[in-house]
Amino acid sequence: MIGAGAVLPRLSPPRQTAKGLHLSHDPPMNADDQDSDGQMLLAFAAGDTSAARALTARLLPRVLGQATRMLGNASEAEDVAQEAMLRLWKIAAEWREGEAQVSTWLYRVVANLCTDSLRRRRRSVALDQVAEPADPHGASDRRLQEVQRVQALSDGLAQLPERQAQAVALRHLEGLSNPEISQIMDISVRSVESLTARGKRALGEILRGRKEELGYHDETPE
Amino acid sequence: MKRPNDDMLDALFSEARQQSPDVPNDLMARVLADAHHVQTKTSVVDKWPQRPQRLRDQLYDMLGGWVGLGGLTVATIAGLWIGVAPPAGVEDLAVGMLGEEVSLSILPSGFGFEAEVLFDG
Repeated sequence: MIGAGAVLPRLSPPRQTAKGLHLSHDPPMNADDQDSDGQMLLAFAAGDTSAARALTARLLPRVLGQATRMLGNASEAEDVAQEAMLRLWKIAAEWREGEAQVSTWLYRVVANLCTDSLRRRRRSVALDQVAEPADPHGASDRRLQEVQRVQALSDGLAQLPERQAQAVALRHLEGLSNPEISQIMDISVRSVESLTARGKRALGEILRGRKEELGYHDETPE
Repeated sequence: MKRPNDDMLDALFSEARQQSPDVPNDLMARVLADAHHVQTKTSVVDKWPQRPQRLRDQLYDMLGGWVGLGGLTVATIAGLWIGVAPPAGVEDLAVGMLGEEVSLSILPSGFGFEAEVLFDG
């Protein structure tokens, strides 16, 4: 389980009314889904046991996916996903329908838990000790390299300031738009643009020295 | 303007975006167990719903329960007893504190009718 260090995001009302946070790789979530998420959460709080199963089936894959993409580690991602869902269950009794979207709230919780996890990783292991190059021979070469690259990206995110890491991950790993990220992070769109630009530039510098190791040659991915 | 590392980063992002793991059964079970635990704790409160308090109960609470009510009853009985059968000295004490009662008549003596005359017809 995750420690208690994670910052619980505030439940402030969204400053913009944009509905439907879409992912490029997961099924899009429309306004009806979001409304029913809120209703199901209220049903859960009222004691409806089937609501927990329905919410878990719908939200857990998305939560686990976000954590996996940001952390590059299945075990850590599962811990984050479990903790995020636990916080959802606990907040259910205080949930006010219409004040916030369940998906927006979860994106924020997962992003915060992931940056907590990255911070612990940064403290415990230096970047150059994390992802040892996998042996690029054998049947699973491609898979090994894929894992290595995702881990390297996650380790790079761990070196960024937390807000930059969150903004870059939400923009480039989750495929969210800047207005959607501004809702999730509770900052202006201009701040999102600035954070993602600076974060991406810094991440490029961090990973530049590992280009060959990660199998990228002459600016062209393998 | 595209930077030298942008191609590598874009490729890395693209590769990471493909990571969409299936939810392991044990994780699903843990999450549902957490939900059940939270729901059970919440429903313990729900099983003992608070009835709307009756006026008598509200008054009882307001007066401080049986302790406050007992004190109030003793004080009331004592006050009543002092009023009905005042102990010696209480009247003098009242006179000393509040002053003596004085009656004044604004009509001269013998003026008008005597009550007895009126009643006797």
